[in-house]
This record gives sequence, structure tokens and C-alpha cells, in this order.
Amino acid sequence: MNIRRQYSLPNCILTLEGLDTTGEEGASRPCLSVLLMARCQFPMLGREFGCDRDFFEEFARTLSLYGQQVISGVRSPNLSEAPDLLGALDELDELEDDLGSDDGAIATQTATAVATEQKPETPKIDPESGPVQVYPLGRSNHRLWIQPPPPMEGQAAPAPLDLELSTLQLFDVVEVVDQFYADPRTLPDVALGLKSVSRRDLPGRSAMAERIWPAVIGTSTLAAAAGVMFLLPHPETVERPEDRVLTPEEVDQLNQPALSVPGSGEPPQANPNSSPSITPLEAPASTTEDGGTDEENKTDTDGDDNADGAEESDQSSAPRSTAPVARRSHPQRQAVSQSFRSQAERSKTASVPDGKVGTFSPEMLSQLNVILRQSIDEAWSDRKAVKEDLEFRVGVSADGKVVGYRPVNQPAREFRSDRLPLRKILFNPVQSRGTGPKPSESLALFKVILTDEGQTQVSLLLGSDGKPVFHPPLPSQSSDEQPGE
Amino acid sequence: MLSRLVTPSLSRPECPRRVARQIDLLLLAIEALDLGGSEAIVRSAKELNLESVVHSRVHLWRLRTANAQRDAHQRRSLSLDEGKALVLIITFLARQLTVLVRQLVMGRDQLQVRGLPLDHHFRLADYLERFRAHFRARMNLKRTAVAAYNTDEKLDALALELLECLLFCTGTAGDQRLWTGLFDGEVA
Repeated sequence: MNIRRQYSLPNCILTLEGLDTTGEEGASRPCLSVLLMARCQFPMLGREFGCDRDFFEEFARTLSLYGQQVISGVRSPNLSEAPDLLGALDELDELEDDLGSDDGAIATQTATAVATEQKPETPKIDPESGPVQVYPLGRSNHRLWIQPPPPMEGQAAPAPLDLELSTLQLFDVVEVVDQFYADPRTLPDVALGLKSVSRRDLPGRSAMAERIWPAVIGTSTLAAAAGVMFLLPHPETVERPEDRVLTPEEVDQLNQPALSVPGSGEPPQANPNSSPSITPLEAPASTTEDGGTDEENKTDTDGDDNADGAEESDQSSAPRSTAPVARRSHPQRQAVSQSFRSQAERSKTASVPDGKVGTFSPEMLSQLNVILRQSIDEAWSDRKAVKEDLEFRVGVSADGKVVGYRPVNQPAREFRSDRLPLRKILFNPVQSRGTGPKPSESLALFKVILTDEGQTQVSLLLGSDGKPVFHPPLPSQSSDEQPGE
Repeated sequence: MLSRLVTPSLSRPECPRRVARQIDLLLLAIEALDLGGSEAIVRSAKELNLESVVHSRVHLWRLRTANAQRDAHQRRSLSLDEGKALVLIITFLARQLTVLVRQLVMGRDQLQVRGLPLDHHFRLADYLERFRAHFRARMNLKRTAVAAYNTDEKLDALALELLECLLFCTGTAGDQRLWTGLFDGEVA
């Protein structure tokens, strides 16, 4: 015998038909243990649907979960995610067509509500998300979408129901479901399984965790990189950029007569082309080899006896070479002078990074300063001959020998060179062959002032950056060890 | 009676602050619905045999001061049994007020459909006005969370939310739904 149960509320009527298979005799109310058919009506909307047990259980479960969402505001993770609002208007048109195609019993109240304030918030339904879907619609309305199963196997499924429910209508649907759950004589194996939503399932929390991940990864990477960098040693010397554009003053300096050399016997000349003096005072050591190579080529073309000298030139010392250069024949000297000038043009800077270049250390420079002043004092006999301050630029090798000097101011240029104490202490490579400065050795440059009061002032020559200036090694072609010299 | 409600799994066996606040607000809504609400709350505790938990009007007041937004907030939390008892009282009273609650919710819906302000429904306006007065009289308006309800519109929206919640409390499984919903997002 079929059992028929009906749960009725103003906005929803649920009718269940089934059988009692428990075999209980004499019970005042038979137990509906097998559900044959379920029918849910929405009288105010004029819609209804019929379904089997599986669909009805899904319907009841979904409505029960959504009822809890209305109370707490937290959507259960067991409900399909709320669709986005894209395409809401298209869906709304379909919805209105759907509502309009039905008979006039459709609640005008709901239709009006849809047409007014809920329009922009109508979400688009994804049928793949489930046969029963329900979402909030605005502040006080709800959208219930139902795709009933086909009545018989092989038949086409009926059109889906898309219902706009007010809170009161929704409550009646939920209450009908709750009454079914609460009835111990209807499907007793189905129970209302209410369960609070876990903190982990809060949508905002998971999104927050996802948002935090990149920050965590970035911070940890930065910390790891900082740890690795902490292990690296501090750099002892910080090298400055070597390429520097020459200022006009430096170009003029390069064009000025360079250090006087012993044995030249010629006063310094203003014309660089004809000057035997050779020193581009500010030339980096790194360009010396290239300069030497150029020079080799030029001296090869000019020279008559220095074919082998080109090979030896790399080993010969620049300072030692100054004197022989001065004694060379005019074409040779001119070629060497040109090669030096081209080297000077290529060279950009001779400023020293940290006061230490080649063999010079700061302590050494101060020692050289003392040695130079003492040497000048010892050699300076006729102090009264100096009427005005004489300023010189003096190149000193690492072993303390004065390799060359250059007058800086006009009185110094005009002063008789044979009376200069610098002339007396000047290193003569011819006399001390083999004991001079080593090849490719830089010279420390000092500023020497012989005052009219007979005092000697010696100080390190400082560049524009406040660092000591050094003279690069002179090219080896001028070496006195060349064959034929 | 209390065993009807499932004890949630919490890190501390007490009602979280949000739960205490929501329970107090629902009681406030009941008081706004029913002029003799506060007396009815104590009376229903006796009818439900919950006197061991809510034994006097003063004790009820002390329980409600667990709401941190109260002006007379005391630094005590609501135990789970106290929370359960108050939820059972709320649903008990809500069922007694079923007709009124349905009328007000339906009236709200009709006003919305017609685009009319809420004060066009006399009974609804009465409820909203009383709720606003109760809220402002009892809550600490200096607190940031309370100060957010600084306009009549915001307080009306809160009162309507509570009214919808009370509507679902009138259901067959209203107490279980309310109790479970209170701990949504609070349980581990």
C-alpha cells in the first residue's frame, strides 16, 4: 500500500509517496521507508517539480545547507561556489522569458522584484555545478535553480526551474525540508546533519593564505640571499672607474714640457712636437704596453739599429730610458716624442684608487718624501741664488732616486739649471747602469718648492680627487739597454 | 534539554566573542518585538527547565554582558552551556512570535517591492524604532564596532538581519540551525 506524506507551508508543499517495507504491524503511523516519488510545489510561484529519492535528497541537503548560510552568513564548502556576476543581464533576459512563458499565476511580486532592484546582481548559473543551486540575490532575495531529472529513463529532462524567492518563501522551503527531516516515520535513514563550517573552509581565509604565499616566498628568498651575502668578505679595495674624460686643464698639462731629463742640455720647450721631454704625467699604467707597441712600430720604421730593441723594450725600464732618449738623434727623438704624445692622448687618468700602486704604499710615500727633502737639503748649497719660490714636479722611483723633474712656475723655468739642487741629485742611468729603477715601474710624483727663504717644501702631488698621482712607467724604447746605446 | 545541541569542537570550551554578541543582539531583537520581552526571557528559562543556567533576571543580565560591545561589558566569557540555554530561549520565544515575525518579514518584502520606505509599515517601524533605542541605550557607542552603526539606516539593516535570523529560529530545527550557524567559521 502506498503511503503519502505531505508537508505544507504557505509557500511550499512537499509531497512524498512511498512504501512501508519495515513490516511493522499495528503501528499507528506507517513508516515511509521507500520513497517512490517526491513532488515539491511552490504555490505562490505556480511551479513544481517531481523527482526520485536521490534527487530529493540532494534538494533537501542543498536547501538545508543554504538555510544555515542565511543564519550565519557563511557559505558552506559543500555548496557550489557562487557564480560571478558576468553575464547577469543575459541570464536575466532568459529568466524573464521563462517567467513570462508560464501562466499568470506566477507571482508578480517576485517578477517585479527581479525587474527592479535585483537586475544587476542576477548571477549566471552553471548547470555543471549541480542539479540544485541556490544563491543569495541582493539583500533579501534568493535564487533557486533546479534541474529536475527526467520522469522516466530515456526521456528528456524537463526545463529547469529558476525561482526568485523572498526570504519568507525560502524559509518555507527550508522549513518543509526540516519537517521532513524531523519526521521519524519518513525515510528514517535520512537525518538532518547540521555541522558548523570549519575555520579552514572560510573562503576569505584560503584566499588570504594564497595571497600570503608570494610574500612569504619573497621574504624568505631575501633572507637567504642576505645570509649568503653576509658570508662574503668585505672588498679590501674599491677600484674607481679608470676611464675619465680629460679636462681642458689636463690637456694643457699634457701639452706642457714634461720632466727635464739629465743630459739633454736643452731648456724645456713649449712646443710639444719638438720637445724631447716626454712625460704625459697622467697616463694609466694599463695603457703603457699598448703605447709601447705603437712605439715599436714607429721606431722600427725610423730606427736603424733598434730592430732588436723592440723585443727588449718590454723589459727595459721607462725611467732609465729617459736619458738615452734625450741623446738620440733628432728623427728618433721626434718619433719617440710623438709616440709618447699619442700614448698620452689615449691615456685618460692616472689617479690612484687607494694610494697604493705598483710598489708604492702610503708608508713608502712618506719615506720617499723625507728622503727627497733630505737629499735636496744636502745638495742645495747656494740658497741665496733663489730669489723667488721655485716649484717643481719631481718623479721619484721606488728606490728613492730622482728620475726626473719639471719646472712648474715661471721662475723655476728661468732659473739656471746647473745651480738647481735637483739637478745634482738627479739619477744618471749612464753612470749607474743596471742599478736604476726596474722596468715598467711607476714613479711617485712630488711637488717640491724651493722658497726664497732657503727652505725646501716637499709634498705629494695630489690629483683632482685628492689621491696621490703617479707617473706611469715610461716606454721601453727609451731604455738605455737598447742595443747600440 | 541542552543535549539537544551539539557541543562544537573549540580550542577553548567557551562561546567566542562573536557568538556572545550575536546571542545578545537576538535577545535585543526579541525585546524590541515584544514589550515584555525581558520578563518573557526569564519566564521561558523556567518553562524550559533552564533555571540552573539562567536563574534570575540579574543573572541573565550578567550573561548578556559577555557581549563585548555592551556598555556594561564585563570581562567574562559565555560558557557553552550558557550559550546553549540562551539559544534555546531565543528559539522558544521566536516560535511564540512566529506570526509577528512572518508579518514583519513579509511587510519588509512588500515595502521593498513597492519601493516604499520602511516606516510605511507601522508594526515594522515600531520594531525598528525600539531596536534602535535598545541598541543605543545598551551598547558602548565609543567602541569602533558599535560606532559603525552610527545611522538609523545601518541600525535598521542590522535589525532586519536579526529579524530574518529569528524567522529561521521559528522553524522545526530552529534551535539546531541557530546553534550550528553561530559557530560557522569558529570551529577548527
